[in-house]
Amino acid sequence: MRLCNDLLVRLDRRVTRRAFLRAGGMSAALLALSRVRAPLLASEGAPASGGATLQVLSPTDARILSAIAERMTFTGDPRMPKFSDTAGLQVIDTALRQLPPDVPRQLSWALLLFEYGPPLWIGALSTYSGLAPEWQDVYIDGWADSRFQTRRIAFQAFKNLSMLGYYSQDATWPAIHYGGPWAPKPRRTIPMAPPS
Amino acid sequence: MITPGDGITADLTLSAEVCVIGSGAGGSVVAKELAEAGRDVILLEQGPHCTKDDFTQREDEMMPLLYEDMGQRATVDQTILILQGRTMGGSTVHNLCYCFRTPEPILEKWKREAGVRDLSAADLQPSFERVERMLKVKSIRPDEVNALNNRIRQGCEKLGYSGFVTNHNREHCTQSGFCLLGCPFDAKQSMLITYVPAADAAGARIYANCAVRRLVGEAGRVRRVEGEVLDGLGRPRHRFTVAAQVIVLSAGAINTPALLLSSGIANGNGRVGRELHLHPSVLLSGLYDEDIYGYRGIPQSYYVDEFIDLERDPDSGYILMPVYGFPVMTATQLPGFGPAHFEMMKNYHRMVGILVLMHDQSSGQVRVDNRGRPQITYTVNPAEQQLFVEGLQHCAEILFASGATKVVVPYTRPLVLAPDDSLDVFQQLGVRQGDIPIASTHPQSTCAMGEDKRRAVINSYGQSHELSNLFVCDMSVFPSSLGAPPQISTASLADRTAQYIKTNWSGLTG
Repeated sequence: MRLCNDLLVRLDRRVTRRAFLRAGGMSAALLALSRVRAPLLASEGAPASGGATLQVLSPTDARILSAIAERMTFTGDPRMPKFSDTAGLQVIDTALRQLPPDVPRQLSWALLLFEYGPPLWIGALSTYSGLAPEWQDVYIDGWADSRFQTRRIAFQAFKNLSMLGYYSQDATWPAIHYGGPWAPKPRRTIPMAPPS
Repeated sequence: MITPGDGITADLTLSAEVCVIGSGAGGSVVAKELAEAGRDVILLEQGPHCTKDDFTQREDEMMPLLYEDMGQRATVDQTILILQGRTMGGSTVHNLCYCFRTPEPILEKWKREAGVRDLSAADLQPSFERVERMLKVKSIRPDEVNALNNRIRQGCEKLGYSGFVTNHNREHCTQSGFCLLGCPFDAKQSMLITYVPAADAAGARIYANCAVRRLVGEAGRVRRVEGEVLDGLGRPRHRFTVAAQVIVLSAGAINTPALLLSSGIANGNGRVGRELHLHPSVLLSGLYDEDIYGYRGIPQSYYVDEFIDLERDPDSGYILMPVYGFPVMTATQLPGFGPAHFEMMKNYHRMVGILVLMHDQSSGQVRVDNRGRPQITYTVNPAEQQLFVEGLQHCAEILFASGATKVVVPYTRPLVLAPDDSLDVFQQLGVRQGDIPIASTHPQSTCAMGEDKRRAVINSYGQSHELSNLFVCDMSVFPSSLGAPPQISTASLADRTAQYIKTNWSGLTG
C-alpha cells in the first residue's frame, strides 16, 4: 500500500501531458481523449460491485483501475475470487476519500496515460483494457521494468492500490493462511464526503 | 477534557499558559508534566482521538486512521517511505515498543560535537526513570518471543552474531500481534493510554483534529498559534487561535520544521529542516518449509547488534531487526504481480522478514511547498549504500542459517535466492534508491539542539535560540542520528525540557 500524493504529483510534474503526447507522436488522438477527462471527472460516481456507489473514482477511473487490478491480483487459482467479485474497488475508493483531493485527480490522469499507452509503449493499436490478458501482463511488465522511473512509480502505485483492494478482503485470507483480526470488530464507518 | 473535532461547532479563540502542539512521545509528556505542575495547558493534536474500540485490526481501515498520509508519506522522489503517526498519541500508537535508553556514546558525541550541556546519562537518569515507570517498561519474557523472532535468534546464534531480547512497554499483552495497527486491548502502553489521560486528569485541555498551520512570532516571542479544526476526512471546518505564554512544538521531525518554515520563524541561521536523518531501512524475507505465523505474537522482541558498536564508532553501523507485515503490506512489498506473486503470498504464514536499519550519516532536508506541505529530500550516501549491501548479505545468511529455503529480495527486478546461491549478488546489484524499497520510521534531527547558535535551532533544553518562549520536543532535536529506537529518548528529553520549563517559568513568561 504505497500510493502517495506526492508520487502522483511527481508523475504529473515529470511527465507533463504535452511532453508525454509529444513523445508518443500521437498528440491529436490522445489530446482529444484527454479533453473528455473533465466531464468524466465531473460525472456521478461509478457503481461499485455489490451496489455501493463510488465517491471518488469516476466510471472511467473505476473501469481502468479494475482492469489493472484484475491482472495484478490474478492468482490462476479458480478457488480464489476475482478482483471484480470483491469489494476491492470500494476499499480503494474509501482510501482515496481520505487523501488530499489532488491525489484522485492525479490518479485519474495516470490511469488515462496507462489506458491509452499501448500504441506508444508496445506498438499495439488498442487500449490497455482492450488487450488480451496475456498482452495486458506484458504491458504491465513493461511499466514495472521501465527504464523511466516515472513509469515504475506508476506501476507501484497501481500495484499498491490493487493489493490494498484485494488482500483487505476476508475472502482472500484462507488461501494465504492469514487468520484475520484477533478480536473481530465491526467495520468502521467512514464519513461521506460533504457535497462540494 | 478531550474535545474531538466534531465537538467543535464554531471558530475557536483560546488562551492558556502553555500550548503544546502534537501529542506523541514528546508533546504528551510535556503536557502531562506541566499540567501536573499546575500550569494551564492546551494540547493540540491534528489527528483523531481513538480508543481501543476503534482499532479494528484491518489494514485498510487503520492505515488512514493512524498514519500520516495514510502511511504513504515519502520523499519527493518517492524512493523512501516515511511512516509517522497522525493520531492522539502519535507514533507510539503504532510503534513496536522497543525501549532503549539513549546510548551513552551518542550523548557524548552530542556534547562533543554540538556542545550540548547537562545531558550525560546521569543527567538524564531521573527522566529515564519517570518515563519508564509511566510506560511500564520491562523485559520481554522468553516465552513471549514469537516464532519469527526465534528464527532470527537461531540464525544469529548459529553464526555467532550478537543479539538480545529487548525491553518493551506492554502490560498484560495478549500477543495478538496487531501492534502496528493500534492495540485493541490497551496492552501497549502508548502515550494514548498513559501520558495523554494523565495530562487530561491534571486538567489539560486536549483538542483532537486540530491542525496548526502557523505560529505567529513577534518581538522575540511566539504570540499565538493559528490552525484549522478538521472533519473526519481531514477537511477544514473551523478556524482556531491559541494565545499562550509558552509554546511547545512537538509535531515530529517532518511537521515541526515544516511548521517553522511556513511560519517564517526561528530560522535565522537557516538550519531548520536540515540534517534530516531517517534511520533508513531495507528488508528481505525468508521462506520456510514450516509454519511460522509471524503475524502472531510480539512482532519485534529480538535485536541484532552485531554490526553496530557505538562505543567504538558512534558514527556508523547498522542494526538488524525482525519485521512482519499484514497481508496488504506484504503483498505490496513482494516483487511482481499475478500468479507468481500469489505463489509467494501462499507462503505468507511461512515468511520471516528482517530489515537492515542504518545509523545514518547520510542526510536530507525538509522544505515546504507554497501550501506549507513538507517536501522531503534524502540521499543515501555511497558508503551507506555499501553498508546496506553488507547488511542484506548478513540478513540472508541469518535466514538461511535458521532454515529458510528461499530468500526473496524486493528489488525492482526481483531476486530470489536459494541456500547454495552466492550472496555476492548483492555486491553486483548494490542498494540504490529507486531500485529497492527503503522505509523509515524514525525521522529525526531537523531542529537540532546545541549551544552554537550558528548551527543549532534550539539550545540544550529545547528552547529556540531566537524565540524565548518557543520549545521543541520531539525527534527533531537530536543533533545526529540516534542509532537506537527512539521512543524512550524522545520522551525522556521531553521530560527534561518540561522540568526546565517548570523551574524557569518566571523567566520564560516575564
